[in-house]
Amino acid sequence: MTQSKILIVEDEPSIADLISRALREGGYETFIAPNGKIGVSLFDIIRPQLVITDLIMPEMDGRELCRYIREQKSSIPIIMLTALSSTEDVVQGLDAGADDYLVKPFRVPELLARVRAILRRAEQVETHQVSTLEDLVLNHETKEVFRNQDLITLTATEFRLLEYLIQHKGKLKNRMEILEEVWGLHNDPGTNVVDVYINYLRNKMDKPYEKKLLHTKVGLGFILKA
Amino acid sequence: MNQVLQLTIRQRLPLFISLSALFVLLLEGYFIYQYSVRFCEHEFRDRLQQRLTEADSMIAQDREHPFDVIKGLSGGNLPDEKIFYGTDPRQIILPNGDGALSQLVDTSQFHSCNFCFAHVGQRDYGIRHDHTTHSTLVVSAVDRYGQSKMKNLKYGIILGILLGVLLLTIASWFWVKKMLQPISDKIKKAQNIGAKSLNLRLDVKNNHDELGQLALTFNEMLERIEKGFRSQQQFIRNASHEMRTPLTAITVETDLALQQSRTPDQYQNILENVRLKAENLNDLVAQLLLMAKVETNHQSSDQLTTAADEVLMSALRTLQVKYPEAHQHIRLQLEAADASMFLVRCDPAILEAAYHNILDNAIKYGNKQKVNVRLFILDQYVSLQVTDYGLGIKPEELTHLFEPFYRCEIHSNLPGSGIGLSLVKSIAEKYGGSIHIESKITHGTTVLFKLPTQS
Repeated sequence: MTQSKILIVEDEPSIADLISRALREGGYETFIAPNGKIGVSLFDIIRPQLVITDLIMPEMDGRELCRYIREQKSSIPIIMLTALSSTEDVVQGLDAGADDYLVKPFRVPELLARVRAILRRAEQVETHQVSTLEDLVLNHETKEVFRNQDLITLTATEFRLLEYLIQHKGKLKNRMEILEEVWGLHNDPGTNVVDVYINYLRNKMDKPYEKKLLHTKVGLGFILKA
Repeated sequence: MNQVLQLTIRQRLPLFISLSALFVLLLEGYFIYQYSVRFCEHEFRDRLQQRLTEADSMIAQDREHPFDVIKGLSGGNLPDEKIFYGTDPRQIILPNGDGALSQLVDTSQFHSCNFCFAHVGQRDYGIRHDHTTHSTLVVSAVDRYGQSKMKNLKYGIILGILLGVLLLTIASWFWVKKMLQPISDKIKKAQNIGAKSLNLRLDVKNNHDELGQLALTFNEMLERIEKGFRSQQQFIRNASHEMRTPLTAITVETDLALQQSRTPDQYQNILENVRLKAENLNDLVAQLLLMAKVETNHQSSDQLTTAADEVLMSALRTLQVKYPEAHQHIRLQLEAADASMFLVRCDPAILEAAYHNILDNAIKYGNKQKVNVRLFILDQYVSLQVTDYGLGIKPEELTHLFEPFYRCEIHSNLPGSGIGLSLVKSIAEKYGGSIHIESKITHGTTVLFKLPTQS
């Protein structure tokens, strides 16, 4: 498998260098752009699998870069780096098309975990933008879910859970796996989070319809199948 | 600037008083004058009427020779008196050719009254018309005395008004100056009160009048500012001290490391320590920044719709990195019929800081026992209940928990700055929620943090 290419857009050279070193040690190929303008040119040339961009930069900031990339009809994942206490900026960044954000200062393991997760998700989504099971349709791009052509409104967490289950349709998934993949938490035997959310999801997309798709295997886990 | 403002108010007030007085006096003077003129006229008409009656009765005694009677009467007691007697039923033309009257005296208008009066030029006319003989008797005279009286009255009134206004202006100018003097004094005194002399206060001479109350209010405000200022100073001192501790540790640790070459294991150990201290410092700065943000009012992010359960998960993810093994002890329970019940209106980063601090405390002081975490709905509040079975808090220390930088005695050897819970309390207050802590020493602590649901 070829190394994933990651473009780092950061105006602070010491931070850019540190991120680059961390990612290289994590097995990725990295490119550094000192501002948004160079970031755009580099993006067009190297076609990275992931962009990590600072939010506040001279000339062209992270938001504008996000907008540029999204205008290229590119669904390449973008992680936004922000300073603390700028929630407004984070929200605007996500609105501009960023997929995730990381608050500075951050720990290297956290950075690597986010990069891994986001690349894995992108890989899965890249192959098909719409997943279907019987009359259930899930659009990964627009984050819309339809059942029997009715639009079903889900919360962000409910959508992530359904997305995970539909990507593994026909396979039994236990609570630990779901907790780890959907919530990023591991080893929490005492929690009811998965059951609670399976229940929320079932109430919205399964209960009102004749054909049941979401099944519980007592003591084992959950499965989404026809 | 202040001087100009003072002068303006000093001028404005007397000017206003003088103008008002001038207006009132003019109005009053006008009415007095008008009333006197009417009275004077009336009085003179009474005399004219008297004279008419007199002439009329004399003519009635000698109806054959009315003109002789009138001649005998002329040069009588009224000033510049003229008497005229006419028998023309329709019109009178005065002998001295006073054309103005000839228009006036159309006898048809006298049918309803016995006596009529007119005023033309300086002259007053009294007219008596006899319906049976169709004769008209006219007495005219000039009210010299009355006119000069009115003239004197007019000058008297004008002089009085001018004098009164002048006196009032001078008096009010002195009076206003005296009234404003304490304000000027207070301004001078207040100008001397600065950041370095917040202990100064204004003098209160009379605490019943408005100025005294103003000074009292001002002093109370100074009291509050001074208190706030002192606590800010204390806060900065504490914060600097807390920051200096990890910084000192880092400096000393690296100094020691660089003194001589060491084995890779030793370097690893030292770097581990440095990272830990840097993390402490980072935590503290993050908390202080959040504190500043929480204290800032009205930010657009405060209106965001936030899913409390997702924020809780995010906080747990961060803690999972910080305490990889302690995470095993956490028991998380979500309790709500629908995910939308967990929605609250607040800044997600600020809420995460609150949840993070509560959970961090429970893990840190939980003595490696299990930690129960419940997110549930209680009376329209999204409530986070975190129970640990660790060290606990002494009852006498419970009240101090929310003071910035306060550390419990038994916790003082564990890492922490004492800022966390004061931040949590500020956050709860900012978003209309509350925090409640119950604890029993050696049995553990339960924290209940509530925020109103969005619905």
